[in-house]
Amino acid sequence: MNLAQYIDALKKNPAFMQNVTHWREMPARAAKYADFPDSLDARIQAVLRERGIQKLYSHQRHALDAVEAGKDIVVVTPTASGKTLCYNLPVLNAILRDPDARALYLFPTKALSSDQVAELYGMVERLGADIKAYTYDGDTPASARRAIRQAGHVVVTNPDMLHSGVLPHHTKWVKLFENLKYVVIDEIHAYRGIFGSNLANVIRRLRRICAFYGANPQFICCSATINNPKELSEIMTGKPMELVDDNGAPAGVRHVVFYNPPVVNRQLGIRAGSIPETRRLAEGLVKNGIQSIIFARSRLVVEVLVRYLKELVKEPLGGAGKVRGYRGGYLPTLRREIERELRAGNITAVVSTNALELGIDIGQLEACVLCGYPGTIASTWQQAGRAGRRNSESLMILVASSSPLDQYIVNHPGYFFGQSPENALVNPDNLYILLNHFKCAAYELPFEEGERYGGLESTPELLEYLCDQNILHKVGKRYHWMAEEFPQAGISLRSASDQNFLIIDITDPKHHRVIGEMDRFTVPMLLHQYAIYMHEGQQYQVEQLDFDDKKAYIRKVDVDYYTDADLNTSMKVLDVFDEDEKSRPMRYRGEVLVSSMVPLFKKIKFDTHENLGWGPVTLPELEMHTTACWWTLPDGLENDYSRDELQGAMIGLANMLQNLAPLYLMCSPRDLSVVYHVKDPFTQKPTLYLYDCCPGGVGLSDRVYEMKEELFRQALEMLDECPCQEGCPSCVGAEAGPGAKGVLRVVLKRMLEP
Amino acid sequence: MGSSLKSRLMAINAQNHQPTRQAAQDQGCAGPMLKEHRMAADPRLFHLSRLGLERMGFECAGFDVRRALFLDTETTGLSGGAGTVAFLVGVGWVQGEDFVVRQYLMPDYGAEPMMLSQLGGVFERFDWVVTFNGKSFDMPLLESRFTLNRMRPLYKEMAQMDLLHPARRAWKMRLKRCNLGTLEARILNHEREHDLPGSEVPQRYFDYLRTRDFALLEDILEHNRQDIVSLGALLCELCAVYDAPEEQQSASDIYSLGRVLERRGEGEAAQRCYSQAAKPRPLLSLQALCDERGAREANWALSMMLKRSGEIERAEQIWIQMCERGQMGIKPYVERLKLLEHRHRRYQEAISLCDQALQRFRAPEEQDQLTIRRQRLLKKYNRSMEG
Repeated sequence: MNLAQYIDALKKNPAFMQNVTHWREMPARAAKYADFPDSLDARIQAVLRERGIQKLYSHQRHALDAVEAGKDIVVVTPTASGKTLCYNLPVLNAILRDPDARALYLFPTKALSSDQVAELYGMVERLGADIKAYTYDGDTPASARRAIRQAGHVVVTNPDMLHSGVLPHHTKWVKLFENLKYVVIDEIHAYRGIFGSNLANVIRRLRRICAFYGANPQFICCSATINNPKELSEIMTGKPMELVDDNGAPAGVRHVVFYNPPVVNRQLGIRAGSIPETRRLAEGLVKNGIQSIIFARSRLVVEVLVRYLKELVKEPLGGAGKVRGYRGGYLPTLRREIERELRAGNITAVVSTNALELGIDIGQLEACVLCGYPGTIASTWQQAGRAGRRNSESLMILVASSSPLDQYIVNHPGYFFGQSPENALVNPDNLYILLNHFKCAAYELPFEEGERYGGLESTPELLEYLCDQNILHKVGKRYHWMAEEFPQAGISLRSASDQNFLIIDITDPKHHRVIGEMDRFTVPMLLHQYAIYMHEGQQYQVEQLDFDDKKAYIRKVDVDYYTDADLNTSMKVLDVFDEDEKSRPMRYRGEVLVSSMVPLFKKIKFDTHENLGWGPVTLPELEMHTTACWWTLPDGLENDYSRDELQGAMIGLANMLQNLAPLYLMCSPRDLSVVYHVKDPFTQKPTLYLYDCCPGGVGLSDRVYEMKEELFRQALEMLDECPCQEGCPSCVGAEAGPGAKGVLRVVLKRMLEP
Repeated sequence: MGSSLKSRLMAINAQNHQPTRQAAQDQGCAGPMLKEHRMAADPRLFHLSRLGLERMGFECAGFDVRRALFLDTETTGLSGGAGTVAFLVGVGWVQGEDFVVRQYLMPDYGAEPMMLSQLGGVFERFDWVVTFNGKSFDMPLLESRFTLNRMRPLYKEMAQMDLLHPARRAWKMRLKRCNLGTLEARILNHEREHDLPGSEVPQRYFDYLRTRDFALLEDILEHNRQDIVSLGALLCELCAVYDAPEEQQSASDIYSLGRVLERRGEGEAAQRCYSQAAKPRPLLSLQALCDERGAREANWALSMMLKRSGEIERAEQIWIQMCERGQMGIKPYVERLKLLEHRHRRYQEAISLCDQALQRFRAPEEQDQLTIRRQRLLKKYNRSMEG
């Protein structure tokens, strides 16, 4: 069967259709073309024609015209719409016009940059012009670095390298900075939360250095579909941006199917697993030779599915190569090979983590199965975009897991299709992040009196603070760096805490090796002494956690249990920024001190989940200043319900908020945390807190505060729609206890009553 | 951010909370402070061996010591990024019969532009710059400071004579460490008294900036002055050593210099060094143990040179000697075995040599290698007997 026949067969299969909660056919879209602009160098036009491109898509033309007019732009179009040309064309055009012109490309990962450099090389080669494009990252040999600094027209790098390898050594990059015309930030939607807040500050520093050398580069940003690309790119670059979102690329009919595995135990609300269901669906596709991609949420699930599917295509002639896995942890050479095979069409099915979500070129496949909801609408569309050729049909099946988030999505197709994709949130003014980069900026170039870093009014206060700390030294009107430290060294852009722990495998006494790192707030949970730590399917036991030196020493073991640590979190309100006692529920916003301590851990047997015993953990209490939003429950509930009943309902509500809030904030559930106090020492009432899991906060709780009662309305709706009777893992969670659903329904109604 | 910004900043940084002191304000000094010392120049400076300089790998066409600037900086850190400042630049040169050391010290950061402009004037008069690790540290740092002060055109590129690398090539084997302090003590026989460790320099300067207590800088100035003087002495010493490598005392040094010569293509001179280094010496001191290493490496290097140039008999003599002296484990045995097997075809002799070698192997791979060879030799021997 080809894909069209296969889709028909699915539709006629009642066993399949009875689990389908929604089937939507998205109509085909015709291409919108535009001519090459006259401003485009004739040599480039010739190369494009050679490649069979006679005309541009309308959005490409729009991008070119806007850049030509000197504007900063953000291009928002789906996967495979030719967005690369939106920046390569203006950049090549500028260099052909002026061989001194320079451009800087930023990609979130190394894999993406190598992919894009290859594409740019291709264009340059065909142009036959003397244009040099180089990747500059941690892998660039020292011998090549000097040449790149001097002669690279296009320097391709990542934010981490820009932050610690380029900006602090800007005097060696004079040629680049003096002539920098364009800064390209691709996949800008990937920079959200802490990473994004860091990047926005790196860009502030970049612009400051450009200004020193008399350059004012234009920014060309590209984003997948999110709700606020203009806002995000404006915060990121500090400049007004023109939005280019009139997608002119054609697309075939797209079938989007929501599939909810059948309930096997209605009482307990247990559904068939998403992995076996995904396996069945993927097998159907593979048997019919339909080129497919299967996305799974964890590396482990990827490996399991690959094994199942390889079994299916195994044959004496080595057909197993038709099914491949793809995930972080594979060596780069292996990944490149898989990408090549995919482009060549030699692979029938690839099973991947979200590693293939970003724009690595793997060509277009026919069908896509998502094993579990990827977590955000934007990610879902990104993954779906991997299937879909320009002129033929494509199929995307989302197989829901039993998590509350998945269940909400498949049962609320209106939400998924109606809601604009999530906001990507960043908060470059998070004090913790800001201060780190402010120091870097001061190191890179002395501040002048009256200067405003990123336009911030608080610049003089920050300068004064660093003078008090003897880090800066004011002479006349200038603030000089007066410390031995290299401030860039201690800052990791991908998490807020600058105190990452190294995880060191000491299995081989002769060859200790670092296999990973972890931020200090997670360490007590996962890396306490005797914890079982999992890495690429291998179990390790933590032999020693050196808290002062920030190192965890682990050794390979093979045991039949895993460990789970208890976390005691306590919270203290330090400052109330806003309060609204008229709203329902009553809401507050402010700064809190979260203290967490791990008192003990449990050993839990695989498969049976029996508790095999416990052990103490002796680690210091960790404190974190962050921002939070909190709500109090209406008066009188304490009289109507016992403390236990109320506690069950609050556990359930905390669980639902924890799952629902990331939907609206486009963040990972790990970025925020919800705690409840049946009687809160600060408010003296039953209270729920939601706080940012990052020192200083990144703005998640602020955004939740602004959402007023929205989350609670959604929670009530979800509760009502859940088919379970007393509460199940898909709504109130597993720990709320029996009867929680009923109490919570009343609690939510009372919370929302005017 | 509001008025509580400061307290929030304090909370974030609670771990390195220090009592705050008001930073000293600008003292109104616009330029650097200068300190000049004049002493009789080391007479060897006027007769530096051209051959020695060349062998050190320096560009020295038209070299004139009067146009060489000796330079060393003291900095606020070692990262070499844009936030590192050279607050003290010491330079030295030969003037008439004298050696002049002049130190440019920034009384505060504001003095940097004028200091750089004066330094630019000094650089103008010289074509070579003699440093210790200046090629990768001091000079790029100064260039970066010129750029940051928008004074890049005043920075003149001079031909680099960085003594670190030739010093390492000559003495690393014997001394293990090759920092300037070690070289002063072991090569120049000059022990510093009350020297300020380099790692304390940045903090001293920061303390001075806050307190304006000039006494804090005296040690730094003295440390820097001595560094410059040592640069002169070290250049003379290196030139002499590279000029007459085989006349050195230590076999390790001679062997190390031989390697330099071999790489430079001075084959005959390299062979002379190796032969000299390989001469048996009495084992009288700890130093002699290190010399023994130089001797055996020299023997080996010499034999390999001879092998490559086809002087097999001479090479074979060395291998025989090495086997007798127990040098380089089974390596000389293997070379002799190759000759006996493939060239002389004296299998019986080879087998007995192989048995000797089997008494001396160190690694299991070596044992495997020898065992395989022995089996093959045995087969060849048997076949030759049959034939």
